[in-house]
Amino acid sequence: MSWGGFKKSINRAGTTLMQKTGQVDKTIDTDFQEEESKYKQMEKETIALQKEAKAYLDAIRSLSSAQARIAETVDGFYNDSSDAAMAANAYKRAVEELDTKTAREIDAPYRATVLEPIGKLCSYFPEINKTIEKRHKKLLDYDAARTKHRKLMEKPSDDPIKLPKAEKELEDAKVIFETLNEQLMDELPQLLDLRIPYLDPSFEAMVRMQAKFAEEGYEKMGGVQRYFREGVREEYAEGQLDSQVEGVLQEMRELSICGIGQ
Amino acid sequence: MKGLTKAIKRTPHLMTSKVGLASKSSDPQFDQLQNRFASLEKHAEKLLKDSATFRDSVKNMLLSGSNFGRSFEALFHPLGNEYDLERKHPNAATTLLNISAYQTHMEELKETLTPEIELIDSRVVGPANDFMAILKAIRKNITKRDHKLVDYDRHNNSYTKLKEKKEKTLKDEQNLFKVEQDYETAAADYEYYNNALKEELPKFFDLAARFMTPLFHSFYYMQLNVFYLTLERLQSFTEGKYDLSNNSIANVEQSYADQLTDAAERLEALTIRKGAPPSARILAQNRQTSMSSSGSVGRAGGLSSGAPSRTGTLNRSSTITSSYRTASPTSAEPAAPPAYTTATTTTNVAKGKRPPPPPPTKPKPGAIPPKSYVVALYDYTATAEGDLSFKAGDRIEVVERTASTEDWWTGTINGLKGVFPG
Repeated sequence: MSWGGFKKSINRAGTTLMQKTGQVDKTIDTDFQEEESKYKQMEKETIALQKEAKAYLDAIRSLSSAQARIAETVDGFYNDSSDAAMAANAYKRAVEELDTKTAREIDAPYRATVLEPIGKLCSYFPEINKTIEKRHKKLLDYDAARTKHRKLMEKPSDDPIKLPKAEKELEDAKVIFETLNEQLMDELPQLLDLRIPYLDPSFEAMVRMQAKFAEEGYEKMGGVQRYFREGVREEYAEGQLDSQVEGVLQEMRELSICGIGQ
Repeated sequence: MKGLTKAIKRTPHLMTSKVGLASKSSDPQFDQLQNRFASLEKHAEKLLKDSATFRDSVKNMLLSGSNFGRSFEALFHPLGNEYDLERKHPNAATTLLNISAYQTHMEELKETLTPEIELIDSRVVGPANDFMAILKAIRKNITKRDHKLVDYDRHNNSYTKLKEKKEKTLKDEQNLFKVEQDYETAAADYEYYNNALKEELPKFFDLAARFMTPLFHSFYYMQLNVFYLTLERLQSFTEGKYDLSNNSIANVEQSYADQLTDAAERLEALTIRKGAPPSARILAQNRQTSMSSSGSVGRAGGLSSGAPSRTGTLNRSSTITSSYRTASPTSAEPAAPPAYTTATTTTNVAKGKRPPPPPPTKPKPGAIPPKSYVVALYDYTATAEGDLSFKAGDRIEVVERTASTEDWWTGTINGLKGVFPG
C-alpha cells in the first residue's frame, strides 16, 4: 500500500469509528444496499455454478476413464475364449469407445456452451467488487467532508480560508461519490437482469449434454448384455451374483496353498 | 527370531549363487505359473483402485449435477425485490419455468443412485479386498517355496562338495551324514511346496476367472443402471420441453447458438466490470463539464444545471450541446481541456481526418467512445441519395468510420446523416 493509500485508510478508519459514536453523520442508502445484496447473492451463486459445472465435467471424464481401466482389468482375468471372456471383451470395447469418443466429444462443446460463458461472467466480479468497495470508501469521505463543512458553518473558524476549502472538499467528495454511486446504481440492476438471458442457453445445453452422455453410455453398454449367458440379469436382480462371488472366494480359501505353513 | 537366523544362514548362499560360485536350480513350469500369478496380483490391485475411482466419480457426478441445478435455480429465481422474470425475459421462459423441476429431478436421481453406488462397496470393493487377502496368502507360500529352494540349493551344494572331497578328515566324515540329512529334509520341504503350488495354482486361476464372472456381471449392471437411470430422469424432465430425439453434439451447439442473445455484448458494455476510474479523473471530467455548462446554460439549455455529477457516467453523450462542440472541436471527450484541444485542431486540420486525440489521461474505461469529428478539406456536393453534402471546413460527426480514408464513411452534419468520402 502506498503512503497516500495508507493515510487514507487511517483517516477512513477514524471516520467509521466516529460514525459509530455519532460524531460524524452516516448516510444510510437502502436502495444501494438492496442492489448490493442482490448482486452479492448473484455473485455467490454464479461462482458456485462455475465450480459445479467444472466438477461435473471432471466427474464425467474420470467416470469414463475409470470404466475403461476396469474393463481392461476384467479382460485381463481371462486368458481363454470362454463366453465370459467374450463378454468381457465386448464390454471393454464398449467402454473404451465411450471413453475415447463420447466423453471426449462432449468436452469441447461443454466448455464452449457451459463452462466458458459462466467463467466469463465470474471474471467480471472482482472488478465490480472493487468499484463497490471504492464507492463505499468515497461515501465515507463524503460523510466526513459533509460533517466537517457543517461544523464550520455552525461555528465559523477564525481562519477565513477554512470554509471555502471545506466547501471545495465537500463538493469534490460529493461529485466523486455520486459518480460512482450512479454508475453502480445504473449498472448493477442491468447486470442482475442480464444474468437470465445470458445464462439461459447454457442450461439447455447442459441438459442436452447430460442426456447425450447417458444415452450413449446406455446404448453402448447395453449391447454387451447379449454376450452374457441367459438368466444373468435375473440373478443380478435377485442378488444371487453376490453369493456366487462369495462361494468362489470360499473355494479359494480352501485351497491348501492358501493355508499351508500357517 | 527364527526367521532372522534363517535369513542369515541363507545370505552367503544367495551371494555366492549370484556371482555364479554355487549352483542354482530353477523350475520353468513353476516360473510360468508365478508370472501369471503376479499379473493377477496387479490386476486385482488395479480393479480395487479403479472401482473406488468409479464409485467416487459417479458420486461426484450426481452431486455436481444436483448442485449445478440448485445454483442455477437460485440464479433464476427472483433476487430481492425482482418480479415477473418470465415476462421480462420471454426467451428464457422455458428455463425459468422448468428449472425447479430440473433441480427436483437431479435431486431424485441422486437419491435413487446413491444406494446403488454404495452397493459397489459391498459387491465389488469388498470381494476384491477378500480376493486380495487370498492372493496375499498365496504369495506368502510362494515366498516360502523360494526360501525352501534356497535351502535346498545350499544343502545340495555343501553335500556335493563334501562328497567329492578327495581327502576327507575325520570331521568331514562325521559331517557328511549330517549334511546328507539336511539335504534330504530341504529337498523334501522344497518338493512339497513346489508341487503343491504347481498343482493348485492352475486351479486357483480357474477359480479367479469364475470369481471374476459374477463380479463383472454385477459391476456391469450397476454401471448400466447409472446410465439408464440418468437417461430416464433426463428424458422425463425434457419430455415436451426439449426435443431430444436427434440429440447430437452438433445439435447441442446449434441450439445453443440459436438461443444466444445480445446479452453477452450488453454485459461486455457494462462499465462497472472494468473497475472504477481514478477519482482525479472523475473530478477533471466534472470540472470540464461544469465549466462549459455554466457558459452554455443560457444559449443551449441542453445542459441542465443538475448534470455535473452525472456527466461522468453513461449519459454524457446526451448532455453534449452545440456550445460544447464549439468549445472543444476535436472530440466530445469532456476530459480534454480546451487548451489542449485547440492545439490539436490546428495540427490535425491538414489531414482532415482526426485520430482520436490522446487525452491527458486515458479515456474513462468503458465509457461511450468519444464522438469523433472530421473537418472537411474541400467542398462536396451530394451526387447520390444518401450522400452527405458539406463545405470545406465543416465539421462532420463520424458515425461509422472504416480503416481506410479512401472509403466512404457515415456521418452527420447539421442534423443530416449520410455517407461521405473519407
